[in-house]
Amino acid sequence: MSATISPSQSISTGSPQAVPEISAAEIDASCRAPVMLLFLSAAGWVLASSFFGIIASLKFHKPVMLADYSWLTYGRVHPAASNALVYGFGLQAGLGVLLWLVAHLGRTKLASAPLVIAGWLFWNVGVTLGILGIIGGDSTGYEMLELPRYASVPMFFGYLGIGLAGMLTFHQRRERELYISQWFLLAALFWFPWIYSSANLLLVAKPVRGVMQAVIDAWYANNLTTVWFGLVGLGAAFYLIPKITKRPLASHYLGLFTFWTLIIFGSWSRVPAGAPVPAWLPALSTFAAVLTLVPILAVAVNVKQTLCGYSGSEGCNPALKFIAFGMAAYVLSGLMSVGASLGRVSKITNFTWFVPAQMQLVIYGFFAMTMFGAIYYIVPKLTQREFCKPKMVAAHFWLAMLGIVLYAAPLAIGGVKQGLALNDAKTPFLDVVTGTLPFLRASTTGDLLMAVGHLIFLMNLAGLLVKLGHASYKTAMSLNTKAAGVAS
Amino acid sequence: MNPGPLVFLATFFALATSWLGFVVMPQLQIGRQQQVEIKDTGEMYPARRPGLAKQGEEVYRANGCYYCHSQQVRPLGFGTDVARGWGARPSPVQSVAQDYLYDQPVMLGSQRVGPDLTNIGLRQTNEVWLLSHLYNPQLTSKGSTMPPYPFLFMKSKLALGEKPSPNAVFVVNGPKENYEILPTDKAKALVAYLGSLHSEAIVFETPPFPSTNAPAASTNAPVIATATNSVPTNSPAK
Amino acid sequence: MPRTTDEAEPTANRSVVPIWLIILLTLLAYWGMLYLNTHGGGFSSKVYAPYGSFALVDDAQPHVIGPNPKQGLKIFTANCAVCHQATGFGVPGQFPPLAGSEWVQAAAANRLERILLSGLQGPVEVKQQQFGAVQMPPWRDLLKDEDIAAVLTFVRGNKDWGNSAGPVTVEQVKAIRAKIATHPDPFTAEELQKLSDDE
Repeated sequence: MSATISPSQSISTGSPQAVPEISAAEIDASCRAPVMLLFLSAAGWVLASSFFGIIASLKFHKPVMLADYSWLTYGRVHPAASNALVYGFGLQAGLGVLLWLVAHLGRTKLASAPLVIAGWLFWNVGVTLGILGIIGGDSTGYEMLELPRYASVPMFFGYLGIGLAGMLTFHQRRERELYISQWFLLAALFWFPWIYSSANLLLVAKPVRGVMQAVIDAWYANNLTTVWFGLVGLGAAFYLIPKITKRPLASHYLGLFTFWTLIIFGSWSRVPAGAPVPAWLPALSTFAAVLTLVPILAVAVNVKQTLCGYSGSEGCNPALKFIAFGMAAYVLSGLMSVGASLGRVSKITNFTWFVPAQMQLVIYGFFAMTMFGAIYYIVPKLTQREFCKPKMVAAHFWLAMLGIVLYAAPLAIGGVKQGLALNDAKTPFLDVVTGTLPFLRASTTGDLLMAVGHLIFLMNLAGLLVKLGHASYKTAMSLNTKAAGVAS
Repeated sequence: MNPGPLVFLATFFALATSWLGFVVMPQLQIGRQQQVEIKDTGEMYPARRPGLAKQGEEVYRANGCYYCHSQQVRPLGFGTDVARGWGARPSPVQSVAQDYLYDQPVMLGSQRVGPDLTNIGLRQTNEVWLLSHLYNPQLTSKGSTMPPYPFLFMKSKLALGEKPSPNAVFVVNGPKENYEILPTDKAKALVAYLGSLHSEAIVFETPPFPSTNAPAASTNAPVIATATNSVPTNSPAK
Repeated sequence: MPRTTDEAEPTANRSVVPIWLIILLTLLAYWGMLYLNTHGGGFSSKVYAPYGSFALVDDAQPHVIGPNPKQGLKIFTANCAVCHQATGFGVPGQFPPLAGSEWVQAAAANRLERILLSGLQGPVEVKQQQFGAVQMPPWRDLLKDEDIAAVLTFVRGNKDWGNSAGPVTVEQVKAIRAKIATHPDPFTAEELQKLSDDE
């Protein structure tokens, strides 16, 4: 993919040569309303997730805290936090970034923005109903798929609307040849409706019997976190790293290699060893999990070679910082997941806090951080305004980074300690549990830092919007009061 | 060539493989399990939950008990599940798919912030203990990190000299006020559900330890599934 | 296609995938196959960790129950029910009952096994009823050890008949068959009563 005209362009349908080139500014203008809506609500949800997460975390400081209210019990606020993060923030931020990237890489305007806005509305109505449902005790009981039926139906149709707009945008692209990111993003677009509808049909609408529910739930959760988040996060990173540093990505083929190995091995479910299912299921899961070492290393090599020797002026670009951290977290969490899938390690880490630490490192450390970076890159282009206080963007980065480190590190270390104590039959169970409390309490610091970061994130976005609104108001006023010619 | 369809085919191929391997194939194998007859007792295993326990399962789900309590005992050699007394089968294999036939939803849990509850119905048969534990874990297990669930109970004032109800979990005879704590229907259902949690029946998948195999021990041997189960109904080994 | 630098979309070099990554993929896949072979339980729905194959689980089944009671019922219906009746009550004066019979329910099954293998002739007393001249045929050439163990297990443990004696294993039948090699004729009740439990 070079800057020269590619030969395939001349044979592309719709003969783009005939129509004038669409400028990046025009593409941004077409994305502005729908993508900003997705980003803003994502920012709102990530803050809500922090709110629930902190309440859940406080229970480990004092179990009696807020115990009188059924809707604030740990078993409800904990899933509310994770669902707000995954569906409220993750999916929306991911889709917003995806749409913008698909439009830009295809050098075409976003197709049917109203469809995206309708989808956005359905999605948010669904997530709101769902989180309220979980708080009210309507959770489905399947981890990562807790949102009740009345939430998942509007969410599914919301996704279809947004996804269809993404497909149409891809279809009408003027640049026929694909950049590597488009492989990732397009696959992600197809992936979610399939896994989400299958899981909901087989678990909620017409539940399968017995332990198959847990097997399908594990399959779904793994496909969502490893594959969907992986595809969107890597797709965005493979675009933004070269774009910001103005250097080519080290290898297109390595990117393709990552794509294939990720979708093939990453999609095989993570059933832990010792689960109450026939032995081949955990064994096959381990097989696949160990093979995901290959895409993880491929990403590490590709990113390292791209950034190798880079010392450009964009080095302190906050978007790049977020994404670089996201890549590091991707590799680290991936290695943790490979390690934890090995029989000997899994005997220790299974059922401990190591597992949520690894999960949070994927969802937040890798995916959310990459999305923050992408949003900070995209939003100034969408609004054609710079952030009023660049320092606040940097502050968000440091808070988020320290937050996730202070959250995941104590849990991972405490989890290993917990696992070792659990496997020593002489240690009474209560001692095992109380032994994890210092680590759990330490992780609350991480929760708090992330929460402040999310508040700043929302303020940054809102500040830009206010600036934009103010400017357009002024423009409109000046157009009204003065002659039209003066404005130019 | 338009690479769009190629990306779609790649996605379709990868997802279809994963779908076949982890959804369709296990569904064909263990998705159609039936009850099995236990030799000696002639009972069918697992038993369906009685109504109250079924309601308790809803309480367990709604309040997310499974975020801290697992319901799966790992086999021998996987941690100390057996040594901690969580398993009830005299077998190297502990929890198996058969155990979850009538769970809806199946809440295996992924954390052990609290102890495993697979066999809580065998370990703790004292309902008052369980109710007290739910009302305030500190009453029964000092130092427990479990949050109390006072919203599953109601406070009822006692007139002077009035005898507390036999169902009372906790009675306060203070100088200012007398009251008793009574379980709500939800608490009673939850305790019934906990009582229904047990999986100790020996089935084909969980052959007992060789020591219990000796003919001499036949009279006190554990309940053993009939050999009808030894012909795999779902799928043969080959 | 003139574009400002900012508008230029990113490009990617076409350097090849490092060979060591391909080698690693191959090695891991090879290891994975070996792992599946040892830990996969042959993809059987009946094999759970820590067992490695269906044969191992099958071998570990409690052989105290050993013979298949369903098989026992089949053999009984085909061979025994003609005389002893499906009810196990036999026919008074002609065929001794099995239900509640002290011969059937003796703690040691060695006499019963002999009767079945070699047959029984002459007078016998069962449940305080006299049977003058029974002619139980030998089954040693007609039934395999497994079948004899199965049918005896079925008869001895048949709750519907009020029987609750322990099962008979194939090994026990084998041992008795070896012992009676020197005794080709049917036993008499008297002979059997002389035997001790472990003979």
